[in-house]
Amino acid sequence: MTRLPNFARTPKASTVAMAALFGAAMLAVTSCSGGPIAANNPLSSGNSFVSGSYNSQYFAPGSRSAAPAITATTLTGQRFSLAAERGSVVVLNFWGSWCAPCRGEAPRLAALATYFRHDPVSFVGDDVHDYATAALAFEHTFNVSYPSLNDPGSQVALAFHSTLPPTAIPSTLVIDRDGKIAARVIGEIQYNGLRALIAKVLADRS
Amino acid sequence: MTTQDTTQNAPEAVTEGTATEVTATEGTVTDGTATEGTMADPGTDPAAGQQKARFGPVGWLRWFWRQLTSMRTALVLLFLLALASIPGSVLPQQGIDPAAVSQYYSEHPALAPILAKLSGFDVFGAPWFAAVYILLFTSLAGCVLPRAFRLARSARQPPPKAPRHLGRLPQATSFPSELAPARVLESAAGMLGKRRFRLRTGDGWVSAEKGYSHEIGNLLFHVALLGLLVSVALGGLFGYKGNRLLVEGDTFANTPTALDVFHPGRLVSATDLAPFSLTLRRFDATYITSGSQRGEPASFNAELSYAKQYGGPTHGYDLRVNHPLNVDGVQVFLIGHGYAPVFKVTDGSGRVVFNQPVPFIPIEQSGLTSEGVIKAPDASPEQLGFSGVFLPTEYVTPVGQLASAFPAAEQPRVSLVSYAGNLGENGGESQSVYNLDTAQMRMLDVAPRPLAPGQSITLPHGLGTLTFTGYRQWASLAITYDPGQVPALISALAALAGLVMSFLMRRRRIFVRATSDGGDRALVEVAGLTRSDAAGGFEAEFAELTQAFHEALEAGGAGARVKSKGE
Amino acid sequence: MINPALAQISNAALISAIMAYGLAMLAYACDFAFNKRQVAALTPASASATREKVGQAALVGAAPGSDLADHMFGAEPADISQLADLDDRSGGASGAGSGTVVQSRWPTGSWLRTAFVLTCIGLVVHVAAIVTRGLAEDRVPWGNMYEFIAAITCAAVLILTLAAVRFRAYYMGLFVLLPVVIALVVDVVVVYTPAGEVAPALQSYWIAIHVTAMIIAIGMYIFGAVTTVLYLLAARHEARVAAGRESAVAGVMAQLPGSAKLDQLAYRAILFAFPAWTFAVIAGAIWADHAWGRYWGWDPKETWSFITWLVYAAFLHARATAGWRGKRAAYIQMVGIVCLMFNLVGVNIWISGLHSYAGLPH
Repeated sequence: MTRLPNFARTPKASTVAMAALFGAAMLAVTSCSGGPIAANNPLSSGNSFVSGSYNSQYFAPGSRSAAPAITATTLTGQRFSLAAERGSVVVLNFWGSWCAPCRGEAPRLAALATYFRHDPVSFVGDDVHDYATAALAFEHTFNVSYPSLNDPGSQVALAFHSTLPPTAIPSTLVIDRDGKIAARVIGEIQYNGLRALIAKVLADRS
Repeated sequence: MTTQDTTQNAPEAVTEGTATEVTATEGTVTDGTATEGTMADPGTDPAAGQQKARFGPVGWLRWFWRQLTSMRTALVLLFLLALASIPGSVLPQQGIDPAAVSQYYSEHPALAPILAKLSGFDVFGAPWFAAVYILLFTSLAGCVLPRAFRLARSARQPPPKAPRHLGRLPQATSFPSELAPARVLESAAGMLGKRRFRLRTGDGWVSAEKGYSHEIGNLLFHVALLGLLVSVALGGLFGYKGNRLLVEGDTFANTPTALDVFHPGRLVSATDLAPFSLTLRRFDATYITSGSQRGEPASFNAELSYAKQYGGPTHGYDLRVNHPLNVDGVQVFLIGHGYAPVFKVTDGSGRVVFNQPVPFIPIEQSGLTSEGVIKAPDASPEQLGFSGVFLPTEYVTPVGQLASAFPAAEQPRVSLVSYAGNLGENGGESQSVYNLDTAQMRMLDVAPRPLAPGQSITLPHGLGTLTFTGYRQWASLAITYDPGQVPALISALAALAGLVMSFLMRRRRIFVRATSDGGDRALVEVAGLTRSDAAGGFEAEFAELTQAFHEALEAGGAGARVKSKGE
Repeated sequence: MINPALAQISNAALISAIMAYGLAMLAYACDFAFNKRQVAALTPASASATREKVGQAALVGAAPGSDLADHMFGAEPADISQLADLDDRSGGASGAGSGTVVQSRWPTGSWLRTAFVLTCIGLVVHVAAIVTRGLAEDRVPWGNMYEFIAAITCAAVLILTLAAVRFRAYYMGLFVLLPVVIALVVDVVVVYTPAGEVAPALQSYWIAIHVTAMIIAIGMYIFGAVTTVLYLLAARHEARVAAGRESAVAGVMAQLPGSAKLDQLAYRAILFAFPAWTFAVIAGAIWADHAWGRYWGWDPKETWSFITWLVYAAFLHARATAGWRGKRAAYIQMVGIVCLMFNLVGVNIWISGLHSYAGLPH
């Protein structure tokens, strides 16, 4: 039969044991928790941007979900229906005039709209959490040629809630010619990156 | 666990944890594992002292485990947890009041970063805090689960044999009876059985036991605490919290981009949010107009309309403090309010580049003086920015300062400083809508005077004009979803029930011996023992029980005097 | 609408209650000084005899196998029979010579009777003060620090009265009324807030549940703390007498039951207070969820309620741990009452959070 070593019988030993257990527990907690928050869920504090990061995803033709049927009014009062854009690739960009990264990417989006003007690609903006006067002033500043939906209540974003809701402003969705969500960019777009993405979706034939 | 004689072999029983082993077995005696310990019986193993066998790793693990699950450790951990919580209440916490944390940084520039490294501003998420409660709960589980098994086992075993000398028990009484011993014992068994004692009979004695609810309650309490921990974890994993400030007339949808602040649980993704929308139609606040509490809020009411789905039917609701809205399990609370003055900015070229309400944030409560910022980045030829205060009931203090005398908008005025230049937004770096970065702007020379609704500032050099057209109110809402909420409540109530049960009940044993006194009569001894007389009253119960027993016996025989022992 | 007449009555009633308590304290003191009851002054011999008997009873009653005396809530001090009634005023001279004692529920001695009657009068007037205040404001009167202190002192006196009658602990009167009177004087002079409305956040029926439960639990905790202080003094006194030394408090101690009974009385107070406090914290969490959207947010008040709960839980665990019963557990209870007082007063004054309803001028 074994006996406990002498030192292990003292109260000091049990204190040491507790300290060791405490250290071990702390180590376990630190290694398990932490890690970067998934890019899906930006932790924000006062703003809803993800600044600086560029996160794009492309979905293969077989694994795309259908975009919802959206009808809305543009900033200039016209009716818009996403379903009516079937047959074209739709680039849907979520923005606001209060959003600084949106100002950063606006020239690139305008340039891309020009680049693809002869292709069946429609650029549409969705102006969220915003007011029409400031939004129109923004469009004027950046010479935005494509329409933007007047969506102060984020209803369009809500329509995507079961498929691929935007998780930051700005973000951009590329919807293929069959009305399915083909790609997503979270954060400011890069000119070359988005151009390649749109071209790829254009070339897809499901 | 054996059914030991309770008191007779007192000397041996007491010395179970001997003097030489007192320190190591202190933990073991109190957590009741003494009977299984490998180290508790040097007395029975004389050869042990000569063995120099090593205490192997398994032995060490067991020793660590014993340390962890001992009562002393539980005590220490409870204190440690209390101690660890103190900094969380004294230092500002990031998750509760980030503004206070920033303020702390500016007030203690040297100390703050050190504290931040030690998780001083996030105490309750700190690894050391987690370590303490994890250890505590492990200790709890390690103690409670074996005890639950022991309880299950002992509950199935019959009560112990009656001790030989009942007189030594704390409650004891004896009296003669006219009935034969066998009849006496029959009567005892019958009476105790009717009182739902568990019985065991033997030659000349009856042993009865009752009161397992005490231990059941104790275990229920501790297990419920574990359940509470699990519920909290559930909420932390699958729940989310968000805030949104809504100006009257605005709508918001429950989606990450529409929330001002969004704290999702670890396993929450954007598609998990209930897809409702909410419009603030009107916000009303009333204040006390006279007396010593003049200016204090009397009531808040946010008139909402909401839809549960995109494009679904709308419903109305009056949201007030203590009167939240529940939509598909998500709760919406009214947590703050303020004013949003409306401004129209016309730039140098004559275009209206800005025309909307701007939420101003209150900086003091008695008059609701509020601060805010207007940015017009699309003004040309230069971007414009304004910052200043909104005063609901403006007056000038004796020293010439602008202040607000009352929180209702009885005399609303706005006082702004104007800037022109580069707002710093075009670079793509995100900015808070409540901060104006004037690093690349110059202040414009405008005659300072507070604006009444309808009045304008004309900027110099043809840069434009700003008109204060009116004001609206805003309400800030908290949106929370916590799937662990109901389980947490159930666990907490179960813990409370267990606590009360454990405190009210006690396990007790009653023994009856009836011996013939040579003739026809019997000498009846009744004794009782309670394990933990938490709520007191065992003496009373014992007295009442013996009285009833005595009367029952007398009903079957001649009277007898009762001689009591012990008070 | 505040009713000023009722508010005036409330203020006057509270001051009258203070005076009644003050007179009661005088009467209690006179009872200590002048009562003619035969009390056996603790001599060294009888003290050690008592301890021996207690020690022996430990073998018989409480120590045995693991299945009886171990680690539960409420492992009692050894001699259970000695603790049968807490009215035994002979400081430690146990039942041996008491013979047949007529156990009357009511206090004996004219001074003690007077003191108790005055306490009861004070309590009735105190309750009236609170009720009229509530009527004046047309709401439950726990809306600010002034009202809260009035309420918890009332709860403490109520618990005192109940304990006195139930456990015949009339001797506690003087010692509980002392902090009560001090607190009430401070309350009226420094903390006083006129009757008024309450912030919208407090306009809920939960105030009747959560805050009331808190008040009752706090009254019990206060009673327990006072009793524990007496216990510590009695234990120290008994140790000094046993060692043959002079003890300055012998006169007072002769009026009190021995340390064992004080210990049990304090323990019983906590046994009632702890579940009440647990319930109050749970009710607070339910209300917090209702009002602020989360049932626990580590608001300073919540955190300190949690700390207080932990310390009293530690106390209960200590009572069940060998070597920690008696004095060590009593010290833990002292830490607990300090945490409680900080929770009630310190957090309101020095730390701001969601709970800042003190009503004090900033």
